[in-house]
This record gives sequence, structure tokens and C-alpha cells, in this order.
Amino acid sequence: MPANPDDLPDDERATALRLGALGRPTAADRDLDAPPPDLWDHISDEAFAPPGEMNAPADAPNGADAPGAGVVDLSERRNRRQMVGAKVGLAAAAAALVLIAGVAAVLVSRSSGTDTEVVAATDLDLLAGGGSGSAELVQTDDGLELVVDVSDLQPQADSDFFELWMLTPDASAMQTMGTFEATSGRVEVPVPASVDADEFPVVDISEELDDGDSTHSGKSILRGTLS
Amino acid sequence: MTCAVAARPHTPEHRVTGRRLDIRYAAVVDQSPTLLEESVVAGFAAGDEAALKDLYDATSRLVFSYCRRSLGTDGAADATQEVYVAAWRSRDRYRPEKGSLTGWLMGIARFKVIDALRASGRRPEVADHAEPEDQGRVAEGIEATAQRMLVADALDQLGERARQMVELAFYDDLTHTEISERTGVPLGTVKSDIRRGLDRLRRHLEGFDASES
Repeated sequence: MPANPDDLPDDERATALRLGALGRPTAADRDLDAPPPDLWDHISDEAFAPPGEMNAPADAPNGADAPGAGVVDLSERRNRRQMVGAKVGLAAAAAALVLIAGVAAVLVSRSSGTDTEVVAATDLDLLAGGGSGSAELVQTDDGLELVVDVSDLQPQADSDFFELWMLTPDASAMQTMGTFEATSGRVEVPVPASVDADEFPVVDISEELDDGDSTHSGKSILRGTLS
Repeated sequence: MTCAVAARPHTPEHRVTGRRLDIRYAAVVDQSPTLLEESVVAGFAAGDEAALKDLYDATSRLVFSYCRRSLGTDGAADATQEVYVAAWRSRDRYRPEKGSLTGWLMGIARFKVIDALRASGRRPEVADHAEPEDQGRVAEGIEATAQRMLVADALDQLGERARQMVELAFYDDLTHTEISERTGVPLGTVKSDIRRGLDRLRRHLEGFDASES
């Protein structure tokens, strides 16, 4: 039982007592491993009918090496939403692991007082809506980190959250870095080792609707190029 | 404004494109991280198959590791599969106002583990591995392990400062004032961190309680 339940409102006291009863999480509680890589295929086969539907688009050649391939108009992408979602799905688990590992590395490096160095920075220009911001690419012992400060973000229209992206200079390809809701504050995200910051130097903040479409809404609020 | 965007090919070196990955995976300073549920739950409830994949990506390590710990390596994958299939098929029974989706999922995992243990003739009550004695008192059993793993995962996603505040308050039994003095963090910040963290943990535990076998 915590020594200070009186510090808490009634609705939180029960949670505090329950935490005390469960006990402090052990190393075993945090010893997490990824499931077998083919498990999702088994789950999707069983959960979604007909079996195999989700796999077909991912197995199709995507023409990635062809010049100009992959540049798709936003409206067309929306119509292809399910296919895009399926294709993206295959890589998602691995990507999530990369980010989790990155966060852990960042936290460890901070707690041990590791020095950091700003390797690139930019102010973010207002494209639409409102707000201001800046971005820095920071080199830590554990890799690159993107640090973005924003103030008073205002969307152009009704939206549910903001999303941070890294883009190629011609916006032909992009990398989501995460979503957030706060209109002011600092967001720090590890840049996965698989992402070449030189190739994706444009930092973009968009407004997004929670509509299940994981692609860029096309509504950018702030943008700047790291240099 | 509409700009042309494109998906990147899925090569091993560029794995993520256009996917909405919740900021819960990232460190957010001085802001409350967004719960996974907020970006996934609507799609999940609406039967969006991509939302189940997002949920799986965000939670499968936790669910699988719990099943593995409780059932052993052999049965863990099958049980994990049952958890997500069951969650998908009963998605219309999930109520966001009653608790978090992750908690609800771990509640289902608890039932699947119990089912698997019973099917194999084992007694769920004694199935947990022994805990190291120097870790202090730890509640044992299938139910407690699921909840504590859920709590541990949620704590790790609070952000370093808030996690530290919550742990000092509820595992080290320090008062808010003592935490403030020990860490140098202003008392108001200590209180708000703990309140926010506790609220997050409460949502997860309520989700756990809301699941049905």
C-alpha cells in the first residue's frame, strides 16, 4: 500500500492500491520478445475472409525501381486505401521494433548524460493554417534524433491530430515519424537507422483526420528543409 | 492544398512509408503522449482491417510474451493468434469509455491463457514461473502477471520523468513532497505527472476488467 494515498483523489486511490497489490514490475515483466514473423499472416488469414486477401497486394511487384514509379496523386491513393494499408502492414512490425529500440536507446543515453550534437536545423515555414516551429537533427551516441518544437499550431479545417513527416525534397516519398495532438510543445523522435536523413531532409507537419487512412492528408501546416 | 505523395517500396532499408505510427513509441517532452487507442480504436470498431494490424504491431510483443511466459514457447503463438482473432470477432463489444484497448486485449489474453492451461490439464493458479526473490513481493498467478506486464508496458510509455514519478510514489512509497525534494522537480509537476500517469494506468486496468471470456 502506498504511503501517500491521501495525496490522491478518490478515483485514483483504487488504482494506486491496486498497483501496490500487484507489486513492482520485475525484469521478467519487461522481458518482451516479438512473436514469430509469420504469426500475423496466420491471424489475418483466420480473422479476415476470404483467406489470403491481405497478402495479395504485398506480393505484387510495386515497380519501385522504375523511374517515376510510386508517385501517386492523393485522390487516387485514397481510393486504393485498403491496398496501401495492406502493403504497409507487412513492414509495420519490424518498423515498430526499430522505433521502440530507438526510444529505449534515447532514454538510456539521457540517463547516462550522453553528449549530443546538432547536425542540422531549420525553421519551419507556415504553409497554411497557423503556428510556428523549428526542427533539429541531433546526433547522439545511439543515432539520430529529430527534435521539433511547435507553437500554436492551427489546422486549416477540422482535424483530429497532427502528424510529423520526413520527406524527400520533391515530396515524392515520405516517412511518417509519428502523430501528436498538442498544439504547442516539443516532440523528440529517434530517426530509425534505416532512414537516410540526407534523402529525407524535409520536415513536414500535417493535419490529419482519424479516418483510417494512414497516408498524408495533403494538408501541410509547417515545413522546412534541414541543412 | 494537395501535394503528390508516394509510397516508398518496402525494401529492408526503407520499411516505413505513409504509415501512421502513434507517437507513443517516441519520447514526448512536456506533453501527454497520445494513447494508441485514439488513432486505432475508431478503425478497429469500424472493422478496418488495417486497424487490427496497427493494433497487432503495437501490442503483439506484450501479448505474445505474456502467453509465452504463461504457456511456454510451444503454445504461445497459437494463444496469441487466438487473442487477436477473438478480439477482432468481438470488436463490437469493446467500449472505449470503459477502458483502453490494450488493456481489453490483455484481458482477453488472460482468458485464452487460462483456456489453454485447462485444455492441457494444467492448473492456471500455479502456472507462473517463480519470481526472483530479491525483486520484492510480487503477486503471482495468471491474472496478476497479465496486469503487471500491462502496467510495466504502460509505465514505459509514460515518458521517463512521469514513469519515475509514478514509480517513486507507488513502489517506493514516497510522498509527493519527498519526490519533489529528491528529484528537484517542482511539486506541481510531480502532482500532474502522477495524476496523468495514474489516469493512464487506470484506463488500462479498466480495459482489462472490461474484457469477457
